[in-house]
Amino acid sequence: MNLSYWIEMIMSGVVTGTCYAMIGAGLSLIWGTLKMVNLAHGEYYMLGSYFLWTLLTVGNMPLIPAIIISIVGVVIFAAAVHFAAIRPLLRKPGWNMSPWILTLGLQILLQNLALKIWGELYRNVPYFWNTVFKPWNMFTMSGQRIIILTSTAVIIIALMTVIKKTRLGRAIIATSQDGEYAMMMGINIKQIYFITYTISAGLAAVAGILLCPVYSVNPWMGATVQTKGLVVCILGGLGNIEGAIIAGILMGIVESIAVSAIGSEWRDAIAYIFLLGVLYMKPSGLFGKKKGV
Amino acid sequence: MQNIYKLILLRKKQIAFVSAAAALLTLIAMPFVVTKIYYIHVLILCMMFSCITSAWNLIAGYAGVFSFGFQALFGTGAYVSALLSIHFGWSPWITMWMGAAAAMAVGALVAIPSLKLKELPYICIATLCMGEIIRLIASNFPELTRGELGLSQIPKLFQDNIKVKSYYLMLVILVVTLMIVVKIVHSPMGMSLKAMRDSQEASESLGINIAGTKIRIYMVGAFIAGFTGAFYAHYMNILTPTSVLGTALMTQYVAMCLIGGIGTIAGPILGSFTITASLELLRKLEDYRLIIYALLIIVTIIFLRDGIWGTFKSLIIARAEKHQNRNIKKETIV
Repeated sequence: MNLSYWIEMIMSGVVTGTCYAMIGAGLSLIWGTLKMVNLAHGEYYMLGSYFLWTLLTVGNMPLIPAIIISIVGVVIFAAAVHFAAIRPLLRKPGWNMSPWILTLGLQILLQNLALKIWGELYRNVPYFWNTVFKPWNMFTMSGQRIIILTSTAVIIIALMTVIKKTRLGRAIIATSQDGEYAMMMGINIKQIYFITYTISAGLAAVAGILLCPVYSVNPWMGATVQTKGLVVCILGGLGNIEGAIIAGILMGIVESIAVSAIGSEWRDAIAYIFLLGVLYMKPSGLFGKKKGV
Repeated sequence: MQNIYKLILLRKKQIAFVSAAAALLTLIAMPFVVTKIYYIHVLILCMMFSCITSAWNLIAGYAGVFSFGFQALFGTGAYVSALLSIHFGWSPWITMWMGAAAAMAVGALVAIPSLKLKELPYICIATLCMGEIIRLIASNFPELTRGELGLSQIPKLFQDNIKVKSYYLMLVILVVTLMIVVKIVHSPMGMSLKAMRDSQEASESLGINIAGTKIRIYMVGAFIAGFTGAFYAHYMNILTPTSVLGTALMTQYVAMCLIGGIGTIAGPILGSFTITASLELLRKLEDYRLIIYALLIIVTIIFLRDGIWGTFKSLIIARAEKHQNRNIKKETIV
C-alpha cells in the first residue's frame, strides 16, 4: 500500500470514471431536451461493443474503419428507435411516465435480441494498443487506458464546444430551457430532439467501444453501466452535462478507492450509498440546479 | 344504446361492486373447475403480482412517489420470514407477520431520503439505489443468507394439498389488500394523496402533512408487499437474491401497473393477470419469450397510453358523457 499503488488505483478510477461520465453526459443531454430518462441507454453501449467485436472477428476488418462503422451503426439504430417508438409518444399526455416503461421494454428487447444473435458467451476484444508504460517507474499504465483517457477527453471537449459555441448547441440549450419558446423562436424542436437522442446514443457507443477491450462483451454489460450512468447523472444534477462529467470521474475514483479499502463485492453498494448521502445533504445533486443543459 | 350509457353513468358504484363480486366468485370457483395443478400455480402467481402491483400503485399511482425499489420490500418480507422460520424453527404463520413488519420498517427507512426529493427521476433513482443496496446486503453475507446460492428448504405453510390451500390463502390476501386499497383511496387520506400527486406545493399550502402522509402510505404498501413476499417464500420454499430482490422483479411490477392502467384500482390487477398469464403461455417459445414480452410492452404503451383499463374506462365514460350532454342540450332546446 505505497504511493504508486494509490496512484494506480486513482488512475484506474479515472478510466472507469470517464466511461460513467460519457454515459451520464448522454443521459443528461436527453433529459435536458426530451425530459425523459432513457433506460435503453446502456444497450447502445452494449451494441457498440458487439458491433465492434463482430466487425473485428467475423468481418476481419482493420480497427479504425470498424470503430467508425460501429459508431455509425449504433447511431442509425438509435435514429430508427427514435422514429419508431419515441416520436409517437413524445410530449403526449403521460409523458412523465410513459418513456420509463417504453425504454424498459426496449432494454429487455435489446438484451434478449443480443442474447439471441450473439449468444451468452463472454467475448473478448483485443487491446487497441498493446503496450505498457511505466512513467517515472512509479506506476504502470497500459496503452489502452491512455487511448481511453485521451479520446474521452477529446470527445467531451468537442461535445462541450458544440453545445457552448455553435448554433446547434444554442438551439439545444434553448430547447432544454423552454421547448415552446424555442419553437416560437423558429427552432425545429423535433429535429433537436432527434439530434440529441442520436448524439447521446453515439456517446454511449463510443464508451462501449473504448471499454470493451478492458471488460468482456456480453448481453448484460449495459445494465450495470447504465445504472451507474443514472447515478452519476443524478449526482451531478439532472440535465447538467458538466456536472455529470465531473460526478462521473469523481464516482470512478471513489469506487476504486473504496474497492481497495473494503472489497470489490461492495463496489456498487458504495456508489449507491455515496449518491444517497449526497442527495440527503443536497437534494438537487452536487452541482446544484442550473437552468439549461 | 343510450339507456346503457345512462345506466353506466348513474350506477357506476353498483356496476363496480357487481363485477368485483363476479370476479371473486369466479376465482373462488376456479380450483373446482381447473384440475391441472400447473394452472392453479399460475393463478397464484397472478394474484401474488396483483397484490404487489396494487401496493405499488397505491404509492406511485395515487401518492406520486415512483419507487423503483419496491422489490426490496417484497424481498425483505420473504427473507426475514424465511430466516426466522429456518433458524429459530418458528411457525411460518407467525414469521409471516414479522416479515411484513420488517418490510414496513425498511419501507419507512426507504421513504425518508425520498421525502426531500421533488423531481420524479431523483425519486426513481434514489429508491432504485436503496433497493439495490438491500439486494447487495442479501447477496454479500453468505454466512447468513447463503449469498447467491439462496435459501432452500424453507418451512411450508401447509403439509398436504399445498397448491389449493395456498390458492385460497393467496385469494384472502388479495381480497384484504384490495379492501385496504379501496378504503384508503376513498378516504380523506386518499384525497390528500391525489392532491399531493397533482401538486405538492398546492397541497402543502392547504395544510397536508406531505412527509407524514408519504411515510404512512409507504408503510402500508410495504406491509402488503412484505406479507406477499413472506407468502412467496413459504410457498416456493426457495429464495435467491436475484429472484426476489432483483431489478427484473421491478421491471415486472412497473410494466404490469402501467399496462393495466396506473392510478386505477382494477388496472394493476388486470395488468398482473395479463402479463403473468402471457409470460406463462409464451413459455413454449423459450428463447423468443422475453423478446415477445418486450414487444408487447412497447406496443401497448405506444397505442394505449393510459394502459388497458385506463383507456377502456376513459373511452366508455367519455362516450357516455357525450350522450348525456347531447340529451341535456335537446331538453334545453325543447
